[in-house]
Amino acid sequence: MRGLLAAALTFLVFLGIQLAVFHFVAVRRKLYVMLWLWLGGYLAYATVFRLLPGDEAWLAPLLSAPTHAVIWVNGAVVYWFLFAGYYQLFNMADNSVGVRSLIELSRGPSRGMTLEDLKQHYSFDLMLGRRMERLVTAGYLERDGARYRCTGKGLVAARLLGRLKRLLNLGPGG
Amino acid sequence: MLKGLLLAAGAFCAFVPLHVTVFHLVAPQRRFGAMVRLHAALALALTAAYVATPPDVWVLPAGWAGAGWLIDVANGLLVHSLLFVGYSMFYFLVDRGFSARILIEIERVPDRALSPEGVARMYSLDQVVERRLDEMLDLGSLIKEGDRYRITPRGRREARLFASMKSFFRMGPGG
Repeated sequence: MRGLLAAALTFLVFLGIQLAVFHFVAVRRKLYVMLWLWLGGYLAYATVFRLLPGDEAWLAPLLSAPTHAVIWVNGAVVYWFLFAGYYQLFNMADNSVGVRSLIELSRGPSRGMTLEDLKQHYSFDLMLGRRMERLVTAGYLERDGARYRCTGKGLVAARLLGRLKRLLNLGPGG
Repeated sequence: MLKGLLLAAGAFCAFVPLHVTVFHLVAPQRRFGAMVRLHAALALALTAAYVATPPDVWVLPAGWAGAGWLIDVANGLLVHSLLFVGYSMFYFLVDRGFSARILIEIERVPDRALSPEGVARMYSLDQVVERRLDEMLDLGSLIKEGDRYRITPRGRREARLFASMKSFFRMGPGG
């Protein structure tokens, strides 16, 4: 329990700091900043773990485990997964096409919208352009006049993703 | 704690090949639903295996098997679920990643370069949005009347939640 509790408390600290930073500062490189905050959280994790009493001091035997390295590592891994799950939600709010469409539909007329109506509020060309520019920034594409060319890193990623789609029998998707 | 962790790792190691096999042999219509059911079945199997095996699972050193059974099994199920959440992130990236699809389309053309218009010709942007709207129809966030999509009360709640996240985190319209 000691590791799990330390992971949960550390995640709450991370969440509080992340909420404050992203609310008060216009962060441009969001993943980068979140990763640094998460990494910094491991200092907090180590401190909280050290401060918490051993399970046997306050928990029934059913809920207690003797403190050793596995308990520490288990809590650290749980803290990583809590961050990863939260990042998935955060990224969905920020970038998801579905979420943006849902928000535009909620602001539209009560009789609903066709795809053409939706385009008046949400430019599909901008949606594509933004992603291609992000792929340039990340080094997967490079500009070549009006076109975008796959870099070596982009080719490796494209082939790997194509293979994974085939392995999982997913079709073209996207 | 180590017994629950070992069983969680074992359940996840079984999940991946089972997932690949099910998707090849059955090709389920509702893919993520099938993944959730498989995960739930393995969580049950993990619990059954916990009951059926000795505290040291035949391999653990004596000092490492001293945790209370409730925290041990709960921790095993938690780690099993968190592994599933992590795997789901990977799955959604491979299946639905729009940027991944852009890269794949560009990699397929002979000189490996395309303009945004070229990408849109190979991969219709209307389809990108329609696919997501259809998923939200399945989830009950939208209903379709003729060619119009209308938001349901559930969809409105979700839209409000995400809109307030976007506003709080100063994300801009995004998407």
